[in-house]
Amino acid sequence: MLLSIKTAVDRFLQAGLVLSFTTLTVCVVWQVISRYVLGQPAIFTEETSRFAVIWLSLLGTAYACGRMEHMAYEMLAERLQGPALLRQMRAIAALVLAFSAAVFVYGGAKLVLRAAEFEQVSATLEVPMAWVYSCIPLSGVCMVFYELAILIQPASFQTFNEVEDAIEHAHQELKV
Amino acid sequence: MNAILILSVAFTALLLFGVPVSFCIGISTLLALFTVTPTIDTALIVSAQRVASSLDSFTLVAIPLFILAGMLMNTGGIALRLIDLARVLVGWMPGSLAQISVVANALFGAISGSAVASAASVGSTLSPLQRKAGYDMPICAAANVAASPCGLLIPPSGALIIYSLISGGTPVDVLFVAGYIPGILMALSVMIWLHILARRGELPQDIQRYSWSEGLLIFWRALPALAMVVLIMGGIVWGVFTATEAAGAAAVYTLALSLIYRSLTLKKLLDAVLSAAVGTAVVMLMVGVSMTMSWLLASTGSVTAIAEAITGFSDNPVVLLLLFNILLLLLGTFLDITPGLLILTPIFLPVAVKLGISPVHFGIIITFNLCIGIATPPVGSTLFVAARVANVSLTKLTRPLLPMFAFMIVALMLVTYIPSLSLWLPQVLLGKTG
Repeated sequence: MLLSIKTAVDRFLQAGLVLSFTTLTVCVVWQVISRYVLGQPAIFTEETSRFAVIWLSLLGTAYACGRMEHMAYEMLAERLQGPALLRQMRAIAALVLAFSAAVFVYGGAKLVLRAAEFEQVSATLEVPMAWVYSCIPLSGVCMVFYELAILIQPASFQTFNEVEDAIEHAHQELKV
Repeated sequence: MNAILILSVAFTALLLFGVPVSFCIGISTLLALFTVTPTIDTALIVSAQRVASSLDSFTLVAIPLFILAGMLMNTGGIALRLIDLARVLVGWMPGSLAQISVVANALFGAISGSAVASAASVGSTLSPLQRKAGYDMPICAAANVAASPCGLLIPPSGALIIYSLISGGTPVDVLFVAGYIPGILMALSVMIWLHILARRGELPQDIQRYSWSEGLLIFWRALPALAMVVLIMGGIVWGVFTATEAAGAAAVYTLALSLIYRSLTLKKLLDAVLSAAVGTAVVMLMVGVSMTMSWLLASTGSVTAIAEAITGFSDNPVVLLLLFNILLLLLGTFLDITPGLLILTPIFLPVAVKLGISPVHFGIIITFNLCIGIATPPVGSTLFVAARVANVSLTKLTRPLLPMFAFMIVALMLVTYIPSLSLWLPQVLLGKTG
């Protein structure tokens, strides 16, 4: 049950990530093409790509929480095992949960509401800033979900290991 | 002063407990913020807004694009082609297989943008050959570790983009061009020590010579990867596009290349995009929370206080630069490059500027320091990677690393005290140094 909801949240975030990544790439490339080939630099590209990066970063922050990819120092974790290790994972999840609920969900939602109330718009495209900021609480809700899942089932999560990942990738590549 | 006390105590405690670095910075900044904002509500809203607005920068748009380009470049056997190129370039030197690993790291590190990926690929490829040729494996693994961060100074460099942002907008094009000579010096410093070892007979004297036609063929095979660097740096130097646009061009170029070589399926592309997105987000969250922290430090006057404390110690630039290097090297041993730049730049840069050091030069100094730091025990991902792929224990690896660090520190001193090593090339190529 929990893991199938996790898969759904993963899929949702993946779609958002691919969409914002595509948007920013297309904008940057179009900026160059429009300037040199069409001779008329596009006006929408810079602001759109900046906002796409904000969305990419915040949705990606949540997605990385689900895969435990945020860089941490493992000095303590390496000395723990069994129940003690799970307790440490739970304590960290609780801290991250509290931070994301307070800053991303609560602070982010208030920020969105305030931007909507004052009808703030962006400088060039005049997009409502409430839309731009809405990725903050959205990402926050996903983060809260992932951290709850870690609190409930810490054993089904595994910390991402940069060293193992790099070695495995290199070995796969060298077979080519 | 309360704010900074809370900040540093909370940060250290959370970090040691194993909380992800970005959250350590975020939580401790929030706690410190509570002491200066009128209500808790304000602190929460300000934190959320600061994180988002710190990321609102066209310079940062380059990060996901460079990461994606680097990932796509790390497929389809590009690493092998660059290692072959390194063989042609330095195969004639005694101890050739060790020298090759240094040059291959500099080439592949610059193109993939990752020291860890570079150490893994170069080490996995060359270790079996080095073992077979009778090389001392701890020395080879140490050379791989020491050379792996060179690519972080040699452009294109994600680290220098992060520095550009946190330093308040130092031009990326100048930083990129400024990174060349120091990055190459870093590689040379390791190569000089290896050459001394080879001369002393501590490395096999095997020499690999290539005919012109073989050399040209290998160069031809590595050309697609080298062309990416020419596209990026040529475009920037000739003013065709900005660093961010160059990153876009690099992403499209590598994508086209992978399609031409048919090494890319839709699934692989989606995986690469998602990995690049996660890589971006991990860096960006750190950028967002660190910018919030540095804003807090600046607005509470803490930075001025730290700066006064440092300049109170001495106001001689030569002494202070030495002090900076010592502090940065020490802190760099347990801070990775991105958190290192994000946490330390706001504290040290104002003092450096006060002493008349240009922000570009300082950016190269701090990055060089942190590059040495990521290769040192106790915390260093490249160290673990290199030890594993060479099948050498960490304890055995540490001893041959020490003289290499000594040589790298000599290079660091040259880069620190001779500003023109960083600033001459941008002056010549771009006509500006800041």
